Amino acid sequence: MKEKIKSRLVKLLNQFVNENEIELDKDVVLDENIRLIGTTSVFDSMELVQFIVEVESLLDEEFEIEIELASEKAMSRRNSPFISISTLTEYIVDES
Amino acid sequence: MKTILITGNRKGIGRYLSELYLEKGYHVVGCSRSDSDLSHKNYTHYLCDVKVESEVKKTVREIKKKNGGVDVLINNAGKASLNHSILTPSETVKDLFETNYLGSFLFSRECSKHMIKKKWGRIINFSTIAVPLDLEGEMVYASSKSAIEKMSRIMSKELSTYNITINTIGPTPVYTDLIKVVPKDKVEEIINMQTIKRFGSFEDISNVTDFFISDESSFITGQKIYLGGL
Repeated sequence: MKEKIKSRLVKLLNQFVNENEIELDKDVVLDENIRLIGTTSVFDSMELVQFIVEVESLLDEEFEIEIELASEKAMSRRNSPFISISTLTEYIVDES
Repeated sequence: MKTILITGNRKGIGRYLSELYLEKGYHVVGCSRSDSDLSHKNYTHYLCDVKVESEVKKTVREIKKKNGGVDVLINNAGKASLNHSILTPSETVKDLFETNYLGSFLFSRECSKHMIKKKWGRIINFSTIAVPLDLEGEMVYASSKSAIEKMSRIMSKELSTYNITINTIGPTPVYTDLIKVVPKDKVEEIINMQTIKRFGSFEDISNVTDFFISDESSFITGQKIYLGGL
């Protein structure tokens, strides 16, 4: 299940970047380790919000996982779940 | 067909707006804590307490599954209470802020998630003329509505890039159950403070909601319109 979610989220990330015409450096590979937050993030703050909404929706529709990613619990973690698709997947699996 | 969600629509202004937008061809979804007798092929009712997060999330999720999300949200559900600040129990403060402010916030947040995906949405919040008038005895009610105005302003900025507009209407007294808790002399006092000294009507309100939700109002956001000339 974990690998399935991770792989689906990487696919979503690629779709999202294409659809929103987000400009990336030439050598950037959109895989499970790409930074989603911070100074080297592929997103600006609003794109991150939009991506989180897309992830919540996908989890509900395709995996029947109802989870609020922007919860108090997620935000107050010492290590943010939003660092990469890998950490996000870990959080989703832990919480669902 | 656009879907319009009107909270607290079993009676009063919410009921009027529901019937009006059904007539105008919208799919109308309503919610309240008890059943509604409104029956129409394009109407769906949900039982939901606006201050309970899990119920709000469940309601919006159901609407999304059935109708593909909410296009227009009218946060109409609200409560009033009159009392001198010194005599106001903390439970009343909590109750009014949860129903008026938290309820509007929860529905705005959940509906916005789908509006962001659609890159289109309209949200209307309800304030009151008690906010600019600083009416004595309405400290809690006006404070909760003032918080709604601030929420609308800030959310309108945060969501503007997704073509979501958020505006506020501040009605004068209108003949509804909510105004029944206000003594007659107090109501008269309020009306005398208005530029146009009369009760508001349901039509006065729908005139503003029609304006806010129209396609042509895509450049109108973060605004508040008080009725009666305040």
